[in-house]
Amino acid sequence: MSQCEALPLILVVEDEPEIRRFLRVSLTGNGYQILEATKGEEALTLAADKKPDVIILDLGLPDIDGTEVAGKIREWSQVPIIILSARNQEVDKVAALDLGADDYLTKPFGVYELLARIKVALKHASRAKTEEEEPVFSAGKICVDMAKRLVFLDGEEVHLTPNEYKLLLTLVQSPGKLISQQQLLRAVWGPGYAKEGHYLRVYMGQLRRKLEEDPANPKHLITEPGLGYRFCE
Amino acid sequence: MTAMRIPREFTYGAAVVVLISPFAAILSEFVHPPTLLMIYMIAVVFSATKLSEKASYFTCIFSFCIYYFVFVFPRGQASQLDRDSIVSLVAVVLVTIVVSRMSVKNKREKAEAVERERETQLIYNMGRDLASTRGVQHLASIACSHISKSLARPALLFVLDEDGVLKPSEHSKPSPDQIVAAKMCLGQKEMCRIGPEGEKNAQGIYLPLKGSLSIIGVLAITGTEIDSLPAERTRLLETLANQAALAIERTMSWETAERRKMLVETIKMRNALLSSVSHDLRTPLAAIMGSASVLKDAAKTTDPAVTQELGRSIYGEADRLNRFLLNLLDMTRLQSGSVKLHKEWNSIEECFGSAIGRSREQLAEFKIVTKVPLDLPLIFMDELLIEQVLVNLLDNAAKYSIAGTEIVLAAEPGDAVVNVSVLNHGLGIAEGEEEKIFDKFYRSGVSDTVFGTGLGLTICRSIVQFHGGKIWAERLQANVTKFVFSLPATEQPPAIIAEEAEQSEPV
Repeated sequence: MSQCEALPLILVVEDEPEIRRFLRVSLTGNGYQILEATKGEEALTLAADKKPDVIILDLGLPDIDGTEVAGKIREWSQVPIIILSARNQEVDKVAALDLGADDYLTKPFGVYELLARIKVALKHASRAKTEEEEPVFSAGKICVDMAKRLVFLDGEEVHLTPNEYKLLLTLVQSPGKLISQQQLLRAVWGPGYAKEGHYLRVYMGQLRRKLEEDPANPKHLITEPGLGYRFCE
Repeated sequence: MTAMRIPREFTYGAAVVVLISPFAAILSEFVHPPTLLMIYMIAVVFSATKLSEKASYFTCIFSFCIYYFVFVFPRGQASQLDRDSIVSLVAVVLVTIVVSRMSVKNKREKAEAVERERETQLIYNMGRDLASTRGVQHLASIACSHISKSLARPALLFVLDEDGVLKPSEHSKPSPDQIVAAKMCLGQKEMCRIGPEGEKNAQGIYLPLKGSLSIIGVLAITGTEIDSLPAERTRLLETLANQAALAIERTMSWETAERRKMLVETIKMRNALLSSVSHDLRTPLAAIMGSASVLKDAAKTTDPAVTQELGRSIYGEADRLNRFLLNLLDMTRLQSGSVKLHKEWNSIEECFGSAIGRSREQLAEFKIVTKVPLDLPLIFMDELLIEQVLVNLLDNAAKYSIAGTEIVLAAEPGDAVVNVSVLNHGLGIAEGEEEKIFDKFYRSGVSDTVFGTGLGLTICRSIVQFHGGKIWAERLQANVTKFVFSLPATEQPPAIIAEEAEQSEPV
């Protein structure tokens, strides 16, 4: 089974045959192995038996709700879960992300978006496993020296308040990954602030003004409306 | 023994005669007795004008008796009675007759005038109340209560609905017999009286309500004493019934016209939707099917550039389809009222960022400029929906702009509002189109060559209105258009607990 180790295994949970076909063709063509499940129960069994590296989970399944599937998997596994949702499933999407899903894609989506999300998920998962962190993170003109707790823009040191720094750090520790508002609020201000979304708005604004060329059209500190934030490289 | 009752007016007449007598006695010293009769004329005229006709005749006779037995007979002047007194008596009797006749006529006219005024008032009151009432059923119940009050009799009103069924007015519960009687009246098309000999529960006057074109219902004055309804009351009844009929008929035809208008509107909407949907679905679908049919037989197309071009075309057209369907879905959701706002304290600046991010592909050919003041407050709004407004406005700007020009997104605080605007240089809007472009399926005259659904701006308007704001278009120059929407900013965002004084990061 040497090949299995070489190629990441992706479990696709989706009841629509056409979407499954598209995912099969595009994922196998891009160097992934795939497993397919059409129902929630089947997905839970396969996830336990085959230990996939990433799970792509459709929210609208015929038997159990996709949100529930995500919750059940999270009880025993940290495998990255990427949700597929339709436009009118905003509430379910938020619920699934709260239950521990890692990211989402809104149908219809392009293959490049999907591959990018999978890449980020795999990278994040491998880093969590090895637990080794790069001491210096850099993207574009932004450079964060985590050992020295310094931030540079274009080589110049940028002065951040402790909370601004914590916010930036939480985002750059998982570059490209969607971090929910709750996660950020807990990480920076503590559990008591989980509902104080306006703190995030104000601090993200401050951070963008210090780090982004055009704070109203940011390149790195990206808002996912209603969900959270993402640091794009 | 029963005392004979003397009418009070006779007593008053006699009292006046007695009161006058002392003056007559004093005068009798100076004048001939027949002249005294003239004094008693006062009493007669008083009775005729202030009391009744009968009282005036009584006073006349009583006066003559006093005159004769007090002033003429005791003095033995009987011969004078033969001539002068008879002349005077005739004069007094004539005056009595004339004055009392006049007085009676006068009183009757006065009573009639009062009655007429009352009727006018009743008719006016009903007319006023009917004029300020809407809805046939409501109108019928108001008319019914007015008629009932004016005639002091219970009334019922039935209105013919579109299906030709007699429906009693609101809050009234006619008995089955009364309904049968009303139907009978409707059949006969004229007033029917049902007396005690008829159905016991249906006694009353049934009057068809005649509109200007047809009979629109039946009015019933119920109760057992219908025969006691005097003639002038019947006339009032007819007038009121007439007025009610006209008012109800007017409302009925207005309602019918409104319904018809609504129906026409709905049909027009449906046709517009259908033609828009079928056109906007078919065009991209045709392109997709065409390109896909070539790709299906991929062996024939070896040129990778062709394959790529076809793939790009399929993607682009599918994207168009997707956006169109999303717009339709949004429109339906917004208009069905099933959208709930998830308002939170959000930043306009972030909405700019995410909207530009979502529209990146469409905006690739333009220079995007953003203007957000540092002190712009957070706004209590649904960020997903406001982002949608911005995406639609940007999409619109991109479609109607000349490649390479600037698209300017700006936000500025105003008087208890925040104004957000999207400005573009391009085809512009025609004068007078500023309002119409927000209408459903309206496509600007210049937009024939541009793909669009005519829904984007309508969605924007719905969302902004849901937030209690306004949206409008400004035509700055022939080719410069600015779309502005305002969001209320009356409340203060919650406070932020400041961090401990900014300190340099520990190294």
